[in-house]
Amino acid sequence: MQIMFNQEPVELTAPLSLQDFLSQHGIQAAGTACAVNEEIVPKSQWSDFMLAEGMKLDVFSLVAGG
Amino acid sequence: MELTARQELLPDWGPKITALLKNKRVGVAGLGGLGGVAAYLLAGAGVGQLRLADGDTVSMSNLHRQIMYRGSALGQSKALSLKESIEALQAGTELICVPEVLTFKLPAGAADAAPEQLSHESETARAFVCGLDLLLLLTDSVKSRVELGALALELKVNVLQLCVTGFVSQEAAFLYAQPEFTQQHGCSRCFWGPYIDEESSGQAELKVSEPGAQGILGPTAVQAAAAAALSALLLLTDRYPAERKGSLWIFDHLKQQGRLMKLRPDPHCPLCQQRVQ
Ligand SMILES: [Zn+2]
Repeated sequence: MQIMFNQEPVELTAPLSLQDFLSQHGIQAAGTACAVNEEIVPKSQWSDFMLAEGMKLDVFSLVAGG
Repeated sequence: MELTARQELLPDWGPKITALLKNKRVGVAGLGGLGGVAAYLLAGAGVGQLRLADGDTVSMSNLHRQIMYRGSALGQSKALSLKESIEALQAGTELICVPEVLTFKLPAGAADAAPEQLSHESETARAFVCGLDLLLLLTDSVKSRVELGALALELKVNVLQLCVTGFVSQEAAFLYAQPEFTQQHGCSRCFWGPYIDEESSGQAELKVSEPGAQGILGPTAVQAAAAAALSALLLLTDRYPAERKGSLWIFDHLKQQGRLMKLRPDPHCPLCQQRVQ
């Protein structure tokens, strides 16, 4: 199963939740936002959100400076 | 010559719009690189009332980007110094100055907030936000953005939030005056979830992991501040682009390119999704 992760193709061998994907990539939750197909996935949904073929995942930092 | 003469030469920005802006009340929370410049531009555009809040004082490391402050203002209150700069414009803007950090202690359930239980600080914040046409959330702290966002949600005041760090700025308008908005797009509490300690969710004392101060170029900050002021004028005149409503606009200042991500509600949000659960 292939997804696009920050505009690069990534092959997933087993079904994976968004949370597990982030953990596997060593991505810290604090200050990180995720969007699937250009829609932000709230942090509380990350463990339940299953990645699926063809999804476009963007992981980015929420900036907070003013 | 009127201050707004050149603005009024633009098609669709004539005297009617000047008159409309004259009747608008805008709050600016945070008067640093974003808020200070944005407030100055909004006064120049003819916004009738500006409420300015910041507890900070002007320091040397601010001046490369906070161009409305002069070296002679070092050590002075940003709110009071900005008031002087804007008064020198002679725009006739009514200025309400709060030279302190606005804080608002969140009630456990936002809907049950009883005004008599509010602390003095929370009263100040409530008075600041109450009756605004638009609140610009331009502070440098996540906690204050969450708190003031919650207050605006409760008072149904539209919020424009913009943040900038490094070469990235992120803008979102939370249109709380529109009844359907939070159902579709959530609130600022939903948005800042990744910075909020989940164990504090729903409790009065929010635990927020604040990012430390990071580097920024003067031109980046000023460009982001001007973008905030323009978006504010578009919101006030009902011309904010439809595709930007309910979206996070992520702008890369090095590439000068932006992209949009739809804002979505957190189904567990104690502030905006309580009734849905
Ligand atoms: Zn919410």
